[in-house]
Amino acid sequence: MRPMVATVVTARPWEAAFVQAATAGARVRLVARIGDAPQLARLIGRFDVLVVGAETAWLEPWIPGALRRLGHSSIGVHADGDTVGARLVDDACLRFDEDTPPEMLIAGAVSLGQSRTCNSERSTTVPQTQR
Amino acid sequence: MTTSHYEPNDHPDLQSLDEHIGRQFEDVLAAEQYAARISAQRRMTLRDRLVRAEDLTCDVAIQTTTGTITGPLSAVGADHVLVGGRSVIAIAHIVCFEQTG
Repeated sequence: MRPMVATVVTARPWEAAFVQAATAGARVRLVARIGDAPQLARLIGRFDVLVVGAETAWLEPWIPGALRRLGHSSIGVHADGDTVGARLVDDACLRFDEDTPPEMLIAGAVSLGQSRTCNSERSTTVPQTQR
Repeated sequence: MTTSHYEPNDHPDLQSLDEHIGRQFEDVLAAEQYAARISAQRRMTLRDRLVRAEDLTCDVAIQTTTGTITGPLSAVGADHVLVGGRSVIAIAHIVCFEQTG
């Protein structure tokens, strides 16, 4: 089954690269590029995995955890060395730095989609050596 | 004393400056994101919208120069779409399409 993935639109190149890779391939279904928090609220229940960058202006640290409780997985993306940004996505199921190739993000979304949701209490940062 | 986000020493005299910088940073992020959203919409093509409709497993009503074809959007090719598993429509001939379900 192809997981339904939504991203939060950002100006950072990783998101455009992710969208391009997701639509060119067929491993995930890209169902939305979310612009603001109300749109995210409206889409609850209509995606499996949310890919969100720490640069998102309205992102709060509790949002990934709240999504998890609602049955959604999330992937947090932050700049390498950005400790404030990393804290914002600390509760995401998977965390990547923004230089990660989009295929790796897609692989993460597929694995989260297959398990439906992450059950771990703590998120997992994918170390450089596993990429 | 509140926990500082941008002033690493958390000095009380710099709290208002820290808040000011924080607000400015949030404003810049919001403006950047708004611009990215508009920019993404402006770069979107008809095929991009059809691919999104396919990913949403939508039923569509596609109006061409010769009529309207309705049904589930089965596939999107490089230059055509497949509706209902049998109607192949050239994207270049699509006048408009609507997601119906």
